[in-house]
Amino acid sequence: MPQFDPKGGFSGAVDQFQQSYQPRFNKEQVAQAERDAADREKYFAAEAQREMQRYAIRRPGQPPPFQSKAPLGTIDEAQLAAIADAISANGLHIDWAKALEYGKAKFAELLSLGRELRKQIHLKVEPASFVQLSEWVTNLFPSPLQPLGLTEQLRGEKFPPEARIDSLDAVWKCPPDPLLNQLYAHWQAFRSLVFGQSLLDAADSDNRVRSPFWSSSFISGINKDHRLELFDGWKAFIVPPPGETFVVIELGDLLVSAVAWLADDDELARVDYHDIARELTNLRSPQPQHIAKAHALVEAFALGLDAHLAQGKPALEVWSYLNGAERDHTKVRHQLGMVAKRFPATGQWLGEAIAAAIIPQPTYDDGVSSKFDAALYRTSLNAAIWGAIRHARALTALAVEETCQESSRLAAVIGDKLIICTALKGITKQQLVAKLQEAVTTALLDAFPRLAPKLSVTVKETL
Amino acid sequence: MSALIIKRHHRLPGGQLLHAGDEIPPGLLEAGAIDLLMDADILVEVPTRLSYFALLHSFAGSKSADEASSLSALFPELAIPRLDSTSKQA
Repeated sequence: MPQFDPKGGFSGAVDQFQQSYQPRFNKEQVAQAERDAADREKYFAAEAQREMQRYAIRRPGQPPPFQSKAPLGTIDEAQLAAIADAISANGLHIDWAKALEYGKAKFAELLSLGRELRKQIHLKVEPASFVQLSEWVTNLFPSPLQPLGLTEQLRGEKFPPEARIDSLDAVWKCPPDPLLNQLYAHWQAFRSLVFGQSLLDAADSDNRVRSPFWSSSFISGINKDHRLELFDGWKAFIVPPPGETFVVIELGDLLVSAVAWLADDDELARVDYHDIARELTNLRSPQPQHIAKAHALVEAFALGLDAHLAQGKPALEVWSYLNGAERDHTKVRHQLGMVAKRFPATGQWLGEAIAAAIIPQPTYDDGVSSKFDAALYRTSLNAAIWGAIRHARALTALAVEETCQESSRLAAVIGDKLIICTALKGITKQQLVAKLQEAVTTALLDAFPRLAPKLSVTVKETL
Repeated sequence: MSALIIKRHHRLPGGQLLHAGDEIPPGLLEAGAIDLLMDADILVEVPTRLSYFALLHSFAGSKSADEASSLSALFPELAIPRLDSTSKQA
């Protein structure tokens, strides 16, 4: 209860109505006083409600999740798992003698590279150890980007992970340096030999290598597997069992074809890498490495890398994906732009994924504040693309399994290649090839209607 | 898996030149000769260096029994996965 203060006013809170002596002489005055009290209560309640609404947190609704179309039909997962198990258990044969001869030549080359390196690096430092090299010279592997300044750090910016050198695989990202070139060449030779040695170690007495790697295409996901790259150097030594031959079905350019189908992009479905390489290099007759770079750029674009990028920022995800095809990271954004303008339908499809990943943030006022959820964007896009790729691979494997008779079997699914071992000869083998081609093409056309993906089925005798 | 490293250039009685920084191939010298070279500070055992002759034993022409397991332990991301190891993990 506020008390009267002789110095002036009242002590204590005065924000509530203070009861005081109010004489009431008749019933009308009493009724009037009750009405006033009721009005006062109503006013206070309305005012409190208004204040609560004014200072309440606004939680805007979430955008609808990214919905992409999916290939038609279903995959019998149990049958697929049985195929994968059979592939792993049967294994592939390796030509031990030739692999050994090749490995010995590569080993001599590795020793020679190591001897050259020893002229510059310390005796005790292991050139195949990133940790030891980094400890030996602190700034041996400089990033191409300047470290963040204090202002940028205080602003909350993070150093891009794509520009961080955290392994010997990423040494190509460093600014050009003769020692780093030597280290990278040594590492490339070393890792290839490690893979080759593991291949020989895994072989049993009849030179058969049993590994889940042979069926890894069903579980590998979007990210590139280093072992696929390493396998390319040793695939020439994989041979069919005695008395049998290989039939190889290759789903050419599957990633780009799958995205073209998902985005309904006719232009992307009939992409011409030679033409893109001509535009990128301004050469009439681009070299194979230029065409390979154009191919990798289109793949990076199809994967939606750096699709949502602030102005003035370098396209580091794409640069990292190119894996050394373009050393200068400042050029990549411009080159990606040249690729992107050719395929507006895919750009729109990626835009839908971006829109679904722009999450409105809660606010205390009526303004709009949104944040881009990069992880959600990547996950939703990867799920859509990987779903289509896996569906195509699995359908092909199932179609092959149905077509193959007793004398033939699916031996491996590595990357986008399906390897079949067959004991058939002559005309019966040609009939098998024709049957396989027809069965796979029909299965894929049924699953990817209207815009048929550019899934070229090629048949080869060797890997 | 430490390596025996040649610390400085040395020519063997047979005329073969050992380069500084190289790992000495197993079987090139007898145990006594290795001890002599280590005493002379020409050979040194470096635990931080990998023994390529042991790690890549098939290509180096050396015999090794337990290197397969160490290879997949040291470089699991580079070695081909084995069927038996995956079944054990599962």
